[in-house]
Amino acid sequence: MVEKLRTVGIDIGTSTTSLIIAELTITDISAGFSLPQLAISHKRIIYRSPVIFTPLLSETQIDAAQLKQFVTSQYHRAHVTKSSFKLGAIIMTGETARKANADRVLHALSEYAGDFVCATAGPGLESVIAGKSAAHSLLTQPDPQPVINFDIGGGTTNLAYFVNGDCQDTACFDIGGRLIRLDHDSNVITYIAPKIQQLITQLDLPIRLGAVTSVSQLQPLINAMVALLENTIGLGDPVAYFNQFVTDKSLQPVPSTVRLTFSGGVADCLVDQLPVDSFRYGDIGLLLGHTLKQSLLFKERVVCPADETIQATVIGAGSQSMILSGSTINYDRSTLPLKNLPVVKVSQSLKEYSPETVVANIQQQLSLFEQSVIALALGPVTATFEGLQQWVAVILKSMNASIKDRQPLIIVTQENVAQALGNSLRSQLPPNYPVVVLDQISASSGDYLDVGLPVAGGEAVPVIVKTLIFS
Amino acid sequence: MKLIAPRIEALPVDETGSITDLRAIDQQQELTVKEPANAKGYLAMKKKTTARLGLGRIGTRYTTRSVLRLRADHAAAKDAVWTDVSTTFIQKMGWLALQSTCKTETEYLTRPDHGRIIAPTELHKLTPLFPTPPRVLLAVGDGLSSSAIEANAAEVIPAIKQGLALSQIQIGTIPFIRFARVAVEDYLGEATHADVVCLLIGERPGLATAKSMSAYIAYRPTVGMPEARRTVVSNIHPQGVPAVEAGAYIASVIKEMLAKQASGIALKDAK
Repeated sequence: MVEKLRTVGIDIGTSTTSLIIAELTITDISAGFSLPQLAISHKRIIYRSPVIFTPLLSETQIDAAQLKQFVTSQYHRAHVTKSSFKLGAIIMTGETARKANADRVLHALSEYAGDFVCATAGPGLESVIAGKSAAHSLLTQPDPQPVINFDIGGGTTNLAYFVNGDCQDTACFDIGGRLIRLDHDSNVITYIAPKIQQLITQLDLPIRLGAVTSVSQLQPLINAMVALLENTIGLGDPVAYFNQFVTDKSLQPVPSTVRLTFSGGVADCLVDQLPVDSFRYGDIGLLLGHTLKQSLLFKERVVCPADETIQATVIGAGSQSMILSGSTINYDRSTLPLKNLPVVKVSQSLKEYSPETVVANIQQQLSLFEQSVIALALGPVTATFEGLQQWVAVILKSMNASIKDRQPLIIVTQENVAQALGNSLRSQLPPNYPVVVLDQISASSGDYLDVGLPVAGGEAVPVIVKTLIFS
Repeated sequence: MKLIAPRIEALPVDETGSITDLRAIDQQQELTVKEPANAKGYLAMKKKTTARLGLGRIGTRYTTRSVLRLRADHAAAKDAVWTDVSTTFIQKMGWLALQSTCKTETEYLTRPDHGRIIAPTELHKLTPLFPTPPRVLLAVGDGLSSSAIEANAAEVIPAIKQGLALSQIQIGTIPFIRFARVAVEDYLGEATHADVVCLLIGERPGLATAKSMSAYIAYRPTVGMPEARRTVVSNIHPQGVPAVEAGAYIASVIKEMLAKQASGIALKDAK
């Protein structure tokens, strides 16, 4: 059985916005006569939009109308409509995600772009999906070596550290190519991001908003930014201003054998020689790229070519963020699709903890949520009939209140037990109770889940695990 | 002449002082190649297959350890064929013990045709228990691996029953057929007039596992019908599909057969 489905990815970054449409092929890869095992066997980008500047109404407001128009015109050019997509992701990143109307625009656009397009943002997720598409060929080798991707955009630099092809750690810093903008003709500075202004003051540099500037005047500042990026993976002398540029967290110590890849707009500016027209993009992107190319990152580490640069994030959003559930699952179709389900993770196993302790733990976590529909992510489940019945007892007890209100019961597990667990739950619940049990999904507390409509004759469902919506 | 004493390393023992069973070691996590260039990568590759990779060698020969392991696995496979499902297990499960026309294990191995038949006298023990035709008859056969049955049946059966009970389908007495080949289910079907017969049977043991079980499911099977009318769910064993999940899946396959009134290739076409 082979099924093709289309997904859309939209990236609204600090400086640029783009859209891609990907086609994912779903195939049953099970050997012969075993249980079905659906997997995404092939991914193909079937349409790439041009990269446009993110439309802004002011320094703090995103132009939602222009974004909608962009989506409409690109759908038209790609010969698709919003109903073409089973799933997709809109990702809003860097400084744009901090604009006053970001949340509203993101959710409005996700309704507008397709029925099952989810809105997502957050530096952790962005790092992972950009890294996965930029370092794709390194990560999918038979024996992948450790690699770090630097996704350097207009406002932020997202780092993702992969070991054996899996993401181990992410980090985000407020360093980017458009934190200073200037007028292309007059070289007059038109914008300085607050944190950069702070750094200029600290370093006592003669760079002023509204004044004419030059490469030589900006160079000390760019050097300071690059020194910080060297620090992120333990290179160079520690800089004093390191912590003030950490967006969420810095990276764990990494071995010196790690390879590097670069993506994001600045990755297209990694030049050996600065062009005469150094401010052709009206920002410091080329300066940053040029200085990076001379830095310790290139001198002391192995840098590999990236598969994607400026569109790494959008390609990741469209093709990497979706996973497929296990293929023997249990769901009530009328409950789907589900959007933005908060995850409550149960990490205790029933082998080590008493059912009472686990129930108390779940109820304690539930009390933190206002909404009653949540996804319960079970910890280690013993795949035996008896083990599942014990979990059923725990689930029924801890979700007692929402079951009385006939709220849908959504359970995810890592182990391949969903169909059996679903049956066990159903045999204890009233007839036709809305139950969704999915396996081969790993999610943690603080994550959010989107579950799309079933694919491949209903055997599996597409799922997006979002590490953060808005903090 | 100078004699060189062989270098013999002490065998690993457990907490009671007994030698650890070689087969208890998870081969997929053991790399016995000396000084590998990339141990991590090798182990990652081993995780993806049950093939005996990375055994190491002494000169041009296998190491003693890997030869012993191969022979131990082979012995376990032979044991699975030559031992019976224990009578206490059959009693504990509440199965009705029957036997194919084979009298001995040797006859079972040399005369597959005899293993496919159940004598009418044996079937008469079963038919009174099903005065009206059941919708589903669940049966168990030892097949080529008795250990497969003892390892998985107790997990699969409750999951099948639970899945079917959700659609108000009950399972009656479960017959157990000693010296069974797959086609004995056709005799069971004709004798009870069940709509669907599901036979759980031990698979031919291999060196990777001796505990693999399959379910052969057929809609209204008849003696002599083409094999294409069977649907099979295979590879149910501890390293394969978890038995309890396989049980739930089998229940859904049975329900689909009842709805579409077909099995095997015809069921696939009906999808």
